[in-house]
Amino acid sequence: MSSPLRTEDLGKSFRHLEALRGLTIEVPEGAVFALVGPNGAGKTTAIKTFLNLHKPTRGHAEIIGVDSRSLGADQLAQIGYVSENQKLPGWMKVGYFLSYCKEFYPNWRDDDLAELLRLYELPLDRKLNQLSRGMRVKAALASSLAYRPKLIVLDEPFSGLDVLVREQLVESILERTPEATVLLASHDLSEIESFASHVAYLNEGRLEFAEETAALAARFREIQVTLEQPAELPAGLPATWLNPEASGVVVGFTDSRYDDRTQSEIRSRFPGAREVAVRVMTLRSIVLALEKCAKSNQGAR
Amino acid sequence: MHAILVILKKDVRHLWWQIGVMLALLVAVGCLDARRAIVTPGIVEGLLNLLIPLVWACLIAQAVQAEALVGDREFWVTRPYRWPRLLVSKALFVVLVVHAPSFATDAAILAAHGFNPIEALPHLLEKQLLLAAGLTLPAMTLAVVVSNLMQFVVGIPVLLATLTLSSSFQPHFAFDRIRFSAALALLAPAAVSIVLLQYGWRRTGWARILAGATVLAAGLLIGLISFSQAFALQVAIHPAANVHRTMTLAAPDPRPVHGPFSRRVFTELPFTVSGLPAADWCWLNPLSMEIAASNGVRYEYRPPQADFDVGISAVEHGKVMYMLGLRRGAYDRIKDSRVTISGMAALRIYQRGQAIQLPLGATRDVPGAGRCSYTFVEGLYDAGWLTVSCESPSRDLMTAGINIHEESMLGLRPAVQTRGSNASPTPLVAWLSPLQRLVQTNEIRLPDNRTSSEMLAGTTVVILPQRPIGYATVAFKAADIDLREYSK
Repeated sequence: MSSPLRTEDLGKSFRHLEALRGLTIEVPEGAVFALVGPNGAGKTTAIKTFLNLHKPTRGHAEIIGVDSRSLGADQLAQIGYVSENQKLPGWMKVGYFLSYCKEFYPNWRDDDLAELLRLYELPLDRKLNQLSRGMRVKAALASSLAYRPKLIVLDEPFSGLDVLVREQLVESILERTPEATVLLASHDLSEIESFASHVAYLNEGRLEFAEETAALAARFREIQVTLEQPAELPAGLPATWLNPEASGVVVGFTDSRYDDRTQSEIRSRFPGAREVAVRVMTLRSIVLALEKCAKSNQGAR
Repeated sequence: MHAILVILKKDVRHLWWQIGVMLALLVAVGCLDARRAIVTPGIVEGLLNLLIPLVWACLIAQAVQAEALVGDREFWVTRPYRWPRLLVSKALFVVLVVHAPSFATDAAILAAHGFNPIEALPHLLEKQLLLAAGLTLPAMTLAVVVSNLMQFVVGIPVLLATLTLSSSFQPHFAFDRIRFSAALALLAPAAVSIVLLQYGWRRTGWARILAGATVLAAGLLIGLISFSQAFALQVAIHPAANVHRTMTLAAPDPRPVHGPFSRRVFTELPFTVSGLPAADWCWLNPLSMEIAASNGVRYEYRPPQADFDVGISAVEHGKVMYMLGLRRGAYDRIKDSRVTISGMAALRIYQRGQAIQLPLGATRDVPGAGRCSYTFVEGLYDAGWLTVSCESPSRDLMTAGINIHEESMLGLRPAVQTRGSNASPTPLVAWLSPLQRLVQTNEIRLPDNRTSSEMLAGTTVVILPQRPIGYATVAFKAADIDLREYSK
């Protein structure tokens, strides 16, 4: 399977600020690939570099089979891009905006648009600058889905929208373009957890991990060990045990490499363990654990 | 082509009411110009001549900013636009909204004044070229390097400077053509490069650096090259016949000298210029001059701050009156000493055309002067004005030497000529006008016992157009003279 987006050692600096530090990812075809991380992590910079809105300062990105620096109209006709801070031509009425966009896409499908308009309940005779934020996102999405793009790039499109609208938009994207690859940048993990097939975590411009959501969920566990009597944390705990903490008789940590051998490892490290509780983690709690770990590592340095 | 028209249609639809206002203003200025016979426009026409370029500039800016090239948040940057088509659509917008209406208005004004627009096509196209160099291209350039309309408005003074440069662009044989031509020759290709750089590669930083450097270079070109250096180049390009010319000082003219004035002392130096064919006529412009007094005081001609100034003078029949205006203090320091005046002068040499007689009430085409008419306008009381007015779509009217002599026995003094219109845009100049105008007016008094028709019967003027044929320089030196003999 070819990848609609792959990067290798991609870097982007703004004067003295290194916004992107050697990003290497490969987005599989048909994936819903979530690029997550805190505000300022470099998600938007990464997307703008993929789309040739920024020139990389090192490495390269390949999008729809061409180097991002050579991205042209032919490739853009296969990409749908919606961003939270995109400037739409506010003077245009929704209907005119959509008919104007149509002229640029050979694959534009009026029946798809009609379906999207019905679904989103867009007022065609209202100007874009008179619409609510949610409606503007819907208009932008409608204009980006009606030509069935191969790659849909969404940069924080749902931030500030209520849950119902968000769910409706996500559903429409997945239903209307089932063959498309979706790249979604978000700092709100709860909004992507239910439908992202892959997750990449960016922090301070650096890629912390990128893998399938299912695999991620499988290898992260929250572990709580109850001891017979209070004890200090033993030295030399595995590096994959993140944020270890001891409080009285309870020791807690996040295991980032959970598998069949974890239980025996715990028993050998804590011979006086009375009980070992293992809990499945949500994507949100995994990322929170990673962020906490990154902060404590920074503090140690 | 389809995408070009789609973008163009979108821009016209977006800006339709502003385009409508601009067209209304253009129709208004066209009507006022079509009815105007005098050089100076009325206040409304003058203000419209200022307002319309600003409206044009703002329309261009809005059309370009609809697909702004600075920034990465514009919706179009991730849409399948092809930059050459986008650029062509914006260029078409400029042609459609600025140049075509301007051209049509100019043609209508010429037709209203009795000129055939087809015959005047080269002049009409030349004007559109100057409009492009002075306004539409700089406006487009500014619009592609700014982030928003507010920044564009801040940059409007630069546009006014290029507009002034373009509207001051002199026809052939103007004394100071080279510097303006060189500045425009620098600005126009640089502007094209910046527009291409932005549309093709969106390199805003480089485009801004190039724009700043070009404006600076054009300013330095005009500011640092002296008039005499520029003129030397003009002499090399358009040399007059290679004849040895000399200028020698003649005896003081017995006619009264201007003055006296409290701050300036006027000195009139009658020079004889040899080496000019009898039929030729010249304008003389100082390039350099030094006044050295025997008491050691020296003055050098360095406009605009100088101890003296020198006027441009006409050379007729080989004679020219060189008028110096010395500051009184400067004059007092040297008036009791013998002085030597030396320097270099620029000559614009004309060849006489055919003299045409024009009776009162007639209108005739005069080669080199355009369409000329001779009219009398009666005043409220016992005054009236005899007016010769010439109009031409050719900018050469601005540098043509046109002598108008009244041939009846009215005994009129030589009158001052006023010319217009293409000069820097101010409320007093109709720089948008496609017509060049020349007006010479004499006021006459009508005695109580005679009507104007009785008095003016048989009144005729002779119009003698003179065509510039080249430039020359001539050195002069007048040693050991007493300035008091020439001064007042």
